[in-house]
This record gives sequence, structure tokens and C-alpha cells, in this order.
Amino acid sequence: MGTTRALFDEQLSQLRSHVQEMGTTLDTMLETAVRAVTEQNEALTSEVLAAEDEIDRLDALVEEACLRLISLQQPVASDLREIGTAFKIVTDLERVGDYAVDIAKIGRRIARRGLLYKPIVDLPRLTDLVRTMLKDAMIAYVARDPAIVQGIVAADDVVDDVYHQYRDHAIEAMRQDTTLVYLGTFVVLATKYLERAGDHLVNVAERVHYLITGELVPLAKVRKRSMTHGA
Amino acid sequence: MQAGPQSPVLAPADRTKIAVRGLNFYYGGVQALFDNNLDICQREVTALIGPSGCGKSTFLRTLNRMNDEIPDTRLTGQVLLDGQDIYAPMADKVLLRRRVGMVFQKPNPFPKSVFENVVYGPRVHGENRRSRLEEIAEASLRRAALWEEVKDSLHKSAFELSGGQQQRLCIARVLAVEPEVLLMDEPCSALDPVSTFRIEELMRELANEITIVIVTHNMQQAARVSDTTGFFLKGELIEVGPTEVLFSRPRDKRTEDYIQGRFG
Repeated sequence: MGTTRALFDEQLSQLRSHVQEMGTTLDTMLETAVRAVTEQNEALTSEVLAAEDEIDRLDALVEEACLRLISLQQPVASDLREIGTAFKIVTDLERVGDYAVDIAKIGRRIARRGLLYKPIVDLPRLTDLVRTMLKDAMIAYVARDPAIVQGIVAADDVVDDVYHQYRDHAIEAMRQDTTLVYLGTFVVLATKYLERAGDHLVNVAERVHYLITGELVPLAKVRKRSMTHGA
Repeated sequence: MQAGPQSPVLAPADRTKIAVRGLNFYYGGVQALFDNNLDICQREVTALIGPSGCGKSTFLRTLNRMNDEIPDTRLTGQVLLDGQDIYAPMADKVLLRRRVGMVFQKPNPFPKSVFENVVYGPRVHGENRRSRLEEIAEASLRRAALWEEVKDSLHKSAFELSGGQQQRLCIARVLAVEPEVLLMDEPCSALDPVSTFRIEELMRELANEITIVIVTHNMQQAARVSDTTGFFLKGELIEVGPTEVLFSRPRDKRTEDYIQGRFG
């Protein structure tokens, strides 16, 4: 059946592009933020701060576009879900951007204090796990793929486990060598920010699930419940 | 209870006011309705939507045998009102139309006063006591949310009312004979937005007491006022369901294409 709403379809397509652009920018932000820490590089912190402005711009652009489409096009069914999903997920994506900024600022703090970063935990590994969740969230959103959605929820469990493991490991390292306390505290904070970013990406996955099925389901809770019952 | 597109969701028997079973309708040799099955719940608003010529108005008119007046038409299947087939040989058509009233696209008041319009039905049915007719007129105009606007001009010509008021007068005229079901064929298509919202509010209020079936081209209207929506396409009832579900996650791709305006 041919479409009679070419302009509306074009506007929906633009909306998707803006959301994807946010995802691409965030991926670079996360990668750069963690390098700002591991390389104690203030210039990288500045790059992340500049990228945050771009995230804020896209966030506002998507919100405005959503409200305009709702008021002018009276969308229903999957069109409305698409717009509602974009409207909601940009808030979670913007929060991921905030965590990237927090991590980047840790890099600046370490640099300004003249500390040398030590790999107490494998921060880049945890970052890669979160970046994979982000990429998958964007793929699931565009491709409307329920299997990828479930994969994101499962990946968050791994992120949580790695976070707990790293946190405990860093505390133990600080206990054994008190000169690591300042750096170690900020490393633990960075891992916590990454873990929280993962939670926001699960929110995105849940919204994509809604986009696909029309059902709002707390996927992470459902998964935990099923694993508890299965155990 | 539930099957494919030709057997849409059927309501529990105790809530069904009208049950349509295997309904086919023909204009001469042309079939307009194909095996329609639908349960219309009492004290609910049921909206029928679909593109022009899809059969929704034809379907509506089968519910009080208005199509009988059109020559060379034929119907098979059943329309059960409270379990009784309205097309049974002994069925009383006059009584049927009292129980199942109808409001049309354009307001069609009689060339009489406001008062005489409202009491026309009761008079036809033999009520001649002036005091009783006055009671009926006031009660009906109140139910149609028109009383406050016309109480001081009951004997003015109905044609002096605005379009929206005329339509509410037509609703009051139907309500005066205390119907159990109200059929509305695009009742707001000739009205401005404010009058439209008044009629929609009225529908919601009336649905506390009677069963309403509305045909509308305005999908936002269907979404706003109805509890259940049915989608017609080429004489087939493609999908029926709770309005909220039909407009948020319809089962059938054709329904989704239509409500999203992607019908090409």
C-alpha cells in the first residue's frame, strides 16, 4: 500500500536521524571521556564538554520536532509510538552525555592535581561494554529488532557485575596502598557513572520494546524476576 | 470468542444490545456489506470508521431498517436487538425506530417551532396532553444540552437556531421518544469545532443511559468519544476493538494504514 503522507514520513525520518546522531556523538563522548582519564588529558575533557553542547542542541531539536508533529499531524498507532519513543529516549541519552562529561571532568581533575593515572581497574573495558550497549540501542531503535533489545538488557547485567567487581577491587587496592586513595576514589566514581549510563541505555531499550510492541514493560525487572525464579 | 478479520471480537452476551450476525447487504446486484459480525454493547459509544463508500453508513442504517426505504435492496443475516431479530417477518418497524433513533449528517429540523419539533414523536405515538408534552420537551431539551439556550424561545421557528443548536434539537427530538439506541451518521460534519465538542460531550453524557453508534470520518472524534471502534473497508468489518487499543496498536495492517492516513 503506497503512502499518502510523504511529508510526514520525511519528518519522521529526520526525527530518527537526529536521535541516531545523538547516539553517534555519545559514543565518541564516552570514548574520549575515558581517554581523558587514562591519559590525564585536559584537551580531551574540553572536547567532551563541547560535544555536550551538541547533545543539548539535538535533545531540544528532537523535543521540538516531536511536539510539532503531535500538534500538526495528529499521529496515532505506530507513528505516535515512534514520536513518543523519540521524545522519551532523548532524555535518557542526554543523561548518558552528562555521565560522559562527569568522567571527562575526572580526567581534568587528575591532570590538574599532577597525578599519574594507574590502571587500578580496566576502565576502557567497562567503557567498551557500555558503548556496545549504546550502539545496539541505536541499531534496535532503527531496525526495530526485539532480539537486540533483549541483548541490551542482558548486557547490562554484565556491566553491573563488572562494576561491582571493579569497585571492590579498587577499594582493596586503596586499602593496601593509601597513596591510591585520591585516584582510586575517582576511578570508582567513573565506573559508577558508566554503570549508571548502562541503566539509562536499558531505559532506551525498554522504550524501543514499546515502539515495537506497543507494550510498556520493565524489561530489566522482568529479566531479574525470571532469573530468580529460574534459579 | 475471537477469530479472524471476518469474526471480530464479540462482547459478552449480557452486555450486548445489538448483535449483528452474518450480515450481507445488496444494492441491486451489487453487494455492499460482506458477512459482518459485530456486538454493540449497551450504554457504550461504538464508532464506525472507514473510507468513503466502505459501507459504514449502509451498516448503520441496517440497525433500524432505514435501508428498507431504498428500492431494490436486499439483506441476509441477522440483526438482533436484545436478542430479537429486527428483520423477522412479524417485527414492528415503527416500534423499532422508536427504540432505535437516528440523527443525520445535516440537521433536519421540521419547519415548525422548537417545541413542536421535540414533541413531534410523542404526538405521533398518541401523547396529546399539553402538560405532558411540555414535560417531555423540557426533559428532552435538557438531555440534549439545549434547554438553557432555547427555553425562552420555544415557539420560535427551529430554522432560527444555529447549525449546532439545530443538530442538538434533532437529538432532543429523537430523545423525546426515549430510544434505547441512538444511531448518528456523521452528526458533526456540518458543524464548527465548538458545536462539535458540545455534541461530543453530549454523546458521552447520553452513553450513561443509552447505546450510541456513530459513523464518522473524523478519526480524532472516534478516538475522543467512543469506547469501541470498528473499521470498515470495502464492506468488510476488518477490525473491532476497544478504541484505545485500535488507535494505539491495531492488529490489522489495513487498520493501521487507514488511521495513520497511509491509504494510497
